[in-house]
Amino acid sequence: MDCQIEAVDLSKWFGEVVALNNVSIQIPSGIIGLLGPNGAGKSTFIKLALGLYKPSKGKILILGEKPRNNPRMLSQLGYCPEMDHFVEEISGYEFLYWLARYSGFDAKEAKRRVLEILDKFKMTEKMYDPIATYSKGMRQRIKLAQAIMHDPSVIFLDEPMNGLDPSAREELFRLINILGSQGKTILFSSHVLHEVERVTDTVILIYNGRILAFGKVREIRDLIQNHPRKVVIKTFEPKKVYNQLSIDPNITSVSFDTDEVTIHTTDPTSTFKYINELIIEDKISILSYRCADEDLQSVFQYLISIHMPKGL
Amino acid sequence: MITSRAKSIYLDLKTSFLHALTITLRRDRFILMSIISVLPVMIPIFVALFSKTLFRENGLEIFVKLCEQVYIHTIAPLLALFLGLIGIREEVDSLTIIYLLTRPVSKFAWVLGRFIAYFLVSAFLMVMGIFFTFTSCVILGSIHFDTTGVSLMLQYMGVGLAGLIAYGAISFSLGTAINHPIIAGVILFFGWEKLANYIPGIADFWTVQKYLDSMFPALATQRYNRAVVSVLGSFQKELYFVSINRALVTIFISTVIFLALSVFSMRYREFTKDRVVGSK
Repeated sequence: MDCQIEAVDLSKWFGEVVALNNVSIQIPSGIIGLLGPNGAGKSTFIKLALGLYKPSKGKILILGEKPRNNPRMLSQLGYCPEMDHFVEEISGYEFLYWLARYSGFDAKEAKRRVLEILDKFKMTEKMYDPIATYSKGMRQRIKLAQAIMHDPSVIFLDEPMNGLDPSAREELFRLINILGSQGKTILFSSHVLHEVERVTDTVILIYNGRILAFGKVREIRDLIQNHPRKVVIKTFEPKKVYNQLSIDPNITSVSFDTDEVTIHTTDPTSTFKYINELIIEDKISILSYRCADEDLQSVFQYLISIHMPKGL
Repeated sequence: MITSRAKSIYLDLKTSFLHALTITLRRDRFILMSIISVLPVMIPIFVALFSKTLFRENGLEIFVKLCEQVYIHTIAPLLALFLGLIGIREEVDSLTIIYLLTRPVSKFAWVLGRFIAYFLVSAFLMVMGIFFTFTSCVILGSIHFDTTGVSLMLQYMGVGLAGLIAYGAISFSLGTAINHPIIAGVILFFGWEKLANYIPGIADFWTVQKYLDSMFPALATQRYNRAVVSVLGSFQKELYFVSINRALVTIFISTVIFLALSVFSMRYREFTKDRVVGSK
């Protein structure tokens, strides 16, 4: 395996809070999704990889070298941060121009690269406007532009889809795929599985500062399909609904309140089908139903509960 | 290898300098400091307007007081706070510094480039201010535009520039090393510096003002006319007198130390914190 990023017993804590706990992983080239809920340790991992943080324990190597205070290594890294950090008064052009200069390009080359990347991101028209006047999507595009304009070989994108409208998202998906096809390593963090699925089939699952799994997206999907799901049904007839659903063999528990019924099912697809059939046959009347835990958080908790620390 | 490293540092320094210069010159605080720097010019004008004799008789003393009390003791640390410390702090607080820290730029060159830009801008304001004040004193007062007068002006400009260097280096180290540098800077420059100079003994050795004062031209005796001066304090101050050479060396060494501290902070400090939900 061509290892691009290697973490060995990597830990990072802030005071008493452990942000990353004993992570050991070897990440190959290509597009890799870093998937986890907010606060899971995704950004901490990325910042350690960029050398913005010093590991509290262990080490992290990018292309075989420590990144912290290593200019040679930093010239090969690109980073799109999650948060908006800008000097608001300056223009997008100027922001990118100075970062290009700091990347080691002379004035002429910096200008050429900036104009090229602004054109690629369809920002030419607004490039001399102050960043303060940019929409969320435009700010995101500027952040992405600075991450790739110096042609890095390893790119870290921390929640890059935040704030982008659907067409900008499509454009970004396309761009990530192009960069991936050029042989670049892209670590793409997100808390939304389907976003990651659009660009890669390889993901790292991170939760509570630990790597839970490193594998293919479809295997994660299977876990999501299989793990017991909590469904909340709003109805005026909770007792009737309770009686009808109690006979479904997939439902492991049922409870009801004045206007809602809560169930846990091991096979959500079959259960939803069964509920729909009951509605069509007029056996029950319901106002709405929803999955109360259909998010990554519940999948991660499920993964922890089935004791799967590494590997799928 | 060494040549290529030196060239790279030079290019980083040039970029940092040009970047800091362009940003600083467009800041509102630069305009504010420009106004503050030339405000003392108004004092000789007002004095001349309201008293026909005072300024003619004491013009020299007024110029000396303006240079020492206003420019060197007040405007120099203000320039360091507004153009040095706040400039750095802006990058740290807005977290735009993370873009820089993920660039292959030498931290030494970055700090030095910014420092040179700060120094040139604030030196320009300081020199212009003293020059205009001197000119208005020449026009209205008893100072003559001759070798003695110009020499006096140049000496104060020199001391002012030394003050900008020393206060600037301290501001840079505060801006990069601690979390509330503006409060610390105000306390240090306008609290401790003033207080220590009234305390009899050797506390004033830990102030920039002590060394700047010892570089003042000899005729400016009014600087000893403090509100609180004890016999013991005066005796000790004379006992621990600092020569100009020693003052220059001290300012140079402390500037190097504080700038090195800035570079150290830039290299080893973590400037960003995550939202962590991690376990204890």
